[in-house]
Amino acid sequence: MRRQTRAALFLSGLALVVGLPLLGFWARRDGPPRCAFDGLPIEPVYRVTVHHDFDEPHEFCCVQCAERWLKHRPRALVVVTDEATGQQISAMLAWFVRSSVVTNRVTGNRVHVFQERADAERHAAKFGGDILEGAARPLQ
Amino acid sequence: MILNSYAVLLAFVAALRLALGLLVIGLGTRAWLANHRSADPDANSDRFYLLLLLALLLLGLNAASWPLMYLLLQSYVSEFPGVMCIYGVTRIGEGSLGAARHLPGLLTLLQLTKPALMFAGGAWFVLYLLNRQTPTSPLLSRLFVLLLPFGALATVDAVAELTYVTLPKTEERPSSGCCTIERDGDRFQPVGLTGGRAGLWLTAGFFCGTGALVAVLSALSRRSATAPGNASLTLLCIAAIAMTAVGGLFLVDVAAPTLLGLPYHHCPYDLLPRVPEAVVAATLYLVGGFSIGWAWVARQFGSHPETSLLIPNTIQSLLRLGMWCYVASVGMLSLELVLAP
Repeated sequence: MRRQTRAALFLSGLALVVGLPLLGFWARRDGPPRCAFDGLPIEPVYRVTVHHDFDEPHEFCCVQCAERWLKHRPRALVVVTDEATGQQISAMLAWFVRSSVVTNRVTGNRVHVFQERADAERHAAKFGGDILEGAARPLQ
Repeated sequence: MILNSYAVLLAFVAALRLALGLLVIGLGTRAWLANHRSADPDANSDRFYLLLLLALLLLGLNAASWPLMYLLLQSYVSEFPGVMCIYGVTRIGEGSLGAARHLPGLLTLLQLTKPALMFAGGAWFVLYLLNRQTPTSPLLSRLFVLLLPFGALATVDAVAELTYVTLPKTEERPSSGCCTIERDGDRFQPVGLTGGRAGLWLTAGFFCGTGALVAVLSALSRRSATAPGNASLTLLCIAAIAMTAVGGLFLVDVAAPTLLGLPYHHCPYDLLPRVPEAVVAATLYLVGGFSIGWAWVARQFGSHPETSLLIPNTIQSLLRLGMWCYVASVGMLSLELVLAP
């Protein structure tokens, strides 16, 4: 093989090895936020954020994914989204309802989050659900 | 049966491969017998061109069917509730009572036969190229014999693929009683192969092992060096198989979660739609291993007085190809891991 051909082959290979990862990184840099547990797109109204000490916050597409994450890394501060207003609140102050309405077809999550007990009761009555209390409360 | 454009295309390619596989087996047997009976090796050579062209076409179609199968599986993701990636599609039918119970087994078979077909096809092609460089085609008879397992494997693969495409994908489950635990949510979640405890060891093993393999390949493929013999090539093959296994574990347990930015999601299939350049790196790694295997096949099945001068050069070229594939793959993967979220 001629020296020039070998040099051209080497340079093409180098361009592939360095160029493709850089191209991929550049193409994905402004992507939409995705769930830290399974990579699904996050709908703002169902967003759950988990804050660990000494780490960046992790966002999740639903309560179920955040619960699965917490099985691996339990000690955290959890912030959930009130479905009625879209406001971020601490999971300790939220009301959770398990109803027939699926928030995410892929994860099959049926747990809904509300800031006010009245909103939670209204949702439970309308869609045949139960308010989760005591040990049944998720994200504790 | 879920009919979309990928299913139609894959079924068409599988039907073509089935026909070609059967033709290659039939014509290959006849050609081998004719070549065996004829005293003059040149007498039948013209008749064999069609067969060799059919084999090359089958080789190309087999190569095309591999990515097509994964594109089909990716297109099925949105068809099943609860499934978020190809891993979930591979679990569809598990525990089902109907015909769908065969789906996971068929996919496992296809995921084994696809790389096996690529290896067998590549090995046959190396011998074909070696034979083409000789004046009297002394390897023709061996080429026909090797076409039989290649054709048979392609036929099995095509039948399995056609069966997978045509089987109904509707699961029939036993009704849940008080003793049935519903685990559907976990069924589609890909889990690690080593339980997530061997990440550091896998990373060290992968990079050090591949580095050692590259160093050996570099030494053996140097133009001034003599081509390795049977024993060295066999040892090299064993090392390549071991490194492919380590590479697979590393991909599932370390690389895929890191590249996807999902530490508890061990799914290499997700790389296909989300980090496609990592699939290029994985393919290069596989080709690196295959090249060593092809060099071994050239040494085992290509020996003949007429090829004695050609084989060392062929083996060294294949080892050089393997070395560069490993270097490119590890280089790409390292850069991707550094840039990962």
